[in-house]
Amino acid sequence: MSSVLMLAYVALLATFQDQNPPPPPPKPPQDLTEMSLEDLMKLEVTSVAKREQPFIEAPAAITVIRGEDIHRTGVTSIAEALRMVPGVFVGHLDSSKWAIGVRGFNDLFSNKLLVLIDGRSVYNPLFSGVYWDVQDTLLEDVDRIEVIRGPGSTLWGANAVNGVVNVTTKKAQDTQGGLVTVLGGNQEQLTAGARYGGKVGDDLYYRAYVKYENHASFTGGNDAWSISRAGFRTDWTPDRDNAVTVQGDLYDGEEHNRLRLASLTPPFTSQFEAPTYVHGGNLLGRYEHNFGSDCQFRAQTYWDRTGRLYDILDETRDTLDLDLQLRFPIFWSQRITIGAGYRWTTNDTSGSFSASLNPAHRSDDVASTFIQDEIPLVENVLTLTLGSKFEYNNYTRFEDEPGARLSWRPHERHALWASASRAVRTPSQFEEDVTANVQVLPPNPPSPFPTVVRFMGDHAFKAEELRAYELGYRTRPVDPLILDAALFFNDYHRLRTSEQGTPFVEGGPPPTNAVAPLTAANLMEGHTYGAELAATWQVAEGVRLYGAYTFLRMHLHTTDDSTDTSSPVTQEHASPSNIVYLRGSWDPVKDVTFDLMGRYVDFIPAWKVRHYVEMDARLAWMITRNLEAAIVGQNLLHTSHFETTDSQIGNPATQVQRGGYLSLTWRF
Amino acid sequence: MVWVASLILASGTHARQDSGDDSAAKTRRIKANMVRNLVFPDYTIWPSKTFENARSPLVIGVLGADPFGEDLDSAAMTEVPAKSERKIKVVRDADPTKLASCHLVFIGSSEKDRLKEVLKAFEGRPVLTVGDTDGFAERGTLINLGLKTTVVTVKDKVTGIEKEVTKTKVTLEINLDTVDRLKAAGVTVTSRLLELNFDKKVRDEK
Repeated sequence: MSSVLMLAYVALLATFQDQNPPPPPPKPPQDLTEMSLEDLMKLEVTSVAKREQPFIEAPAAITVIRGEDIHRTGVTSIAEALRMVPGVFVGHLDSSKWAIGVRGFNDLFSNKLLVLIDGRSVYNPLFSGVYWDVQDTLLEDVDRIEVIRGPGSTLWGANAVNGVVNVTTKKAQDTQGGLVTVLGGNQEQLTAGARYGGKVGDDLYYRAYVKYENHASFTGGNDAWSISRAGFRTDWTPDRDNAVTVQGDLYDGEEHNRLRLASLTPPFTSQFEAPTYVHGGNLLGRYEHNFGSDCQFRAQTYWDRTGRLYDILDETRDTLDLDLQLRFPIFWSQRITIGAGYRWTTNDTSGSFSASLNPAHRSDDVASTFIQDEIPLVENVLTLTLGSKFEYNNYTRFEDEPGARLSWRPHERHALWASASRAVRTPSQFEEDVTANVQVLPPNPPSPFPTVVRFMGDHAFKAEELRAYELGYRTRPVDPLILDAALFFNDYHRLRTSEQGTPFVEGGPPPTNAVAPLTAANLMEGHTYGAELAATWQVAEGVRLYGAYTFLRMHLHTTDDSTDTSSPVTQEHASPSNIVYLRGSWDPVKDVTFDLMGRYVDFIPAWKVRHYVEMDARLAWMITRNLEAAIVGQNLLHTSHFETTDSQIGNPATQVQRGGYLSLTWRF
Repeated sequence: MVWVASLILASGTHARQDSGDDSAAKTRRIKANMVRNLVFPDYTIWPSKTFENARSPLVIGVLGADPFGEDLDSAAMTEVPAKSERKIKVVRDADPTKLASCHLVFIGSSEKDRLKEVLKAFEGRPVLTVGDTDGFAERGTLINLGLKTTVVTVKDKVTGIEKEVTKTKVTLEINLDTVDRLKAAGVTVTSRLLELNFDKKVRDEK
């Protein structure tokens, strides 16, 4: 009987054998004492020489945009490059502004996304968001952009609620020599950049770049803008175990803006047209030390200044950050990562009738620590990662953000993962200190006064909270095809609402007006869920297809005591339910490359933005080994289309128009 | 934090082998076992004069800096009756004369500068000399252990992410003149040992 069972078992095994059998079950540690000299000599001891950043191997919904993808799709900004990532909504509000969000909550002041450039956070605590127009560098020097959908809170702490965008530039040793790039077109009127990289001795590499860009307005808008930028990076590796990086950037620019603002005098709105001046700089230092035995240490510090002056609300902010991380193995093959960080940020603001902050000058600090434990339950097959970040900030005091992830590798070609985590979005300065007169309603008899609708921050505003549950599956069923799927369920609490208070008449200098106050509160909650799919198919030599699909549903509601009737509806229906992105890459003949990108974005009910299909294309030719010429067409299918609606502060949305440019890149 | 700690502990009680060695510890254990195997009759035929009686142990001596520690002790303690009926004993000393009656002496890197005098102490005696320092084989040590490291880039099949992986192998060098000298002293190195895949076969440097 047992031999029959044995035969049946073997037969069953045989039917499941394929060319790529599952990895052998983990062997008990080899008993070296039983081995002969010949066998001992054949043994190979493997160790991972260099550990990637933890999240790369972390079981999470990650998409990596490579430098090559940025180059071949012809995108001209980091913001635009994000279109190819499932789960990310990218809307071009006007020539210089973007509404970008991951898994919903995507308006100009999208506040649930953390963005890092080479480890430096570019998240602005004024409004808990990112000004995309100034987050840029010489794109040819970008190594990759990693987009993690889902809370990255364990490693990056508060405000990495819905996702993290991590931009990494190439090391100086990978950008040696000279590069000059020029492009010109109807939208991107002129962008010129130059970079030179060299070395000192054998261990010190450096590069420096300058970049100037000038963009035209969108149709019907007054949003032309230009920025000049310069920066450098030096990497010094005195030996195999030590690396020091110092880098910095400076930028200065001018943007045209047209804002519709509230006014106390009839017709109670005014058109404001004036330039916005943006400037900033940063200096960052990083030291990495490899102790051997899989033990690494990293210390990083940076200073960042950012300024945005436009008469409605001027802000100049300085941030100082220190971050330490240590990774080491402990018993049972576990790997521990611990970190500690401190950030101090201070700003100076000056406001206007439309918006002002009180206090106008404010300093905040955050101290944080995190711990992560990677536990191989079954070596190389089942890994459990547990971690938590603990923060102490002067807004909400203590926050803890724990997370657990499980990754299962049942077969060489299949990987599954699941995660549960908690993340918080700490209050922005805006939510605590702002007084914003967003609208003025004309006198409505019997009231003789106009009514100012005034949004006010509240120091009692709490952090928003998310509990996220995710499932993911990655497979490479045959070598040319990679499939990546993620499902998520996000449970939100204490989302921001604007609560109506009792109107009152304001005394003081004429004209007298009534005030309808709105106060920030945390009385909305709900859940969102969705799916993200990405597929890459190397069809043949020189032909590659990529597709990304995003599905999202949001259900938000206010709690019983809330008087906010608009927030749930506006937030819930402010994201498209479906987004499709397709890209075909083709190398028709030697030295010629062609890429075709298409996207479909579903309609956005709350914004009254119609669904649209658009297409970009890029044809490039390597004229010589060092000179590449390219012609790029963007948004080719329609003369113009809307992607977003007006921003909350009155930036009118303008239509993205059909555009094209020619570019030349010369390396020497 | 408490629930994180309890989960770590809970997974810890899961019965698992201790596979937490890092690569340095693993290579150390491989070297220790190689040293131990060298005294086996498969590889070395000992004249009867090197044993007091049929039950005397094979003695491995460690001179100077000991790179193995308990790895050599546990390798020696594990009896392999198929290979040898004799037990293996490990002794350690800083004085080569005290180790003159060992079957095998492992010469630590601390002896680098006085290797000549050390080898003189074992000249003409039925003692295998083994080291793990560069150049020892050319200077007269019978067998020298080394490490060969290659760095390979491995691409994960599913995620496409590339990782750098270091592969380390323990290599052996042999001094053929010392083989002859041992033969004269009565110790025969078997053909099985001579046919091992040595990284280098050297002769005394002139």
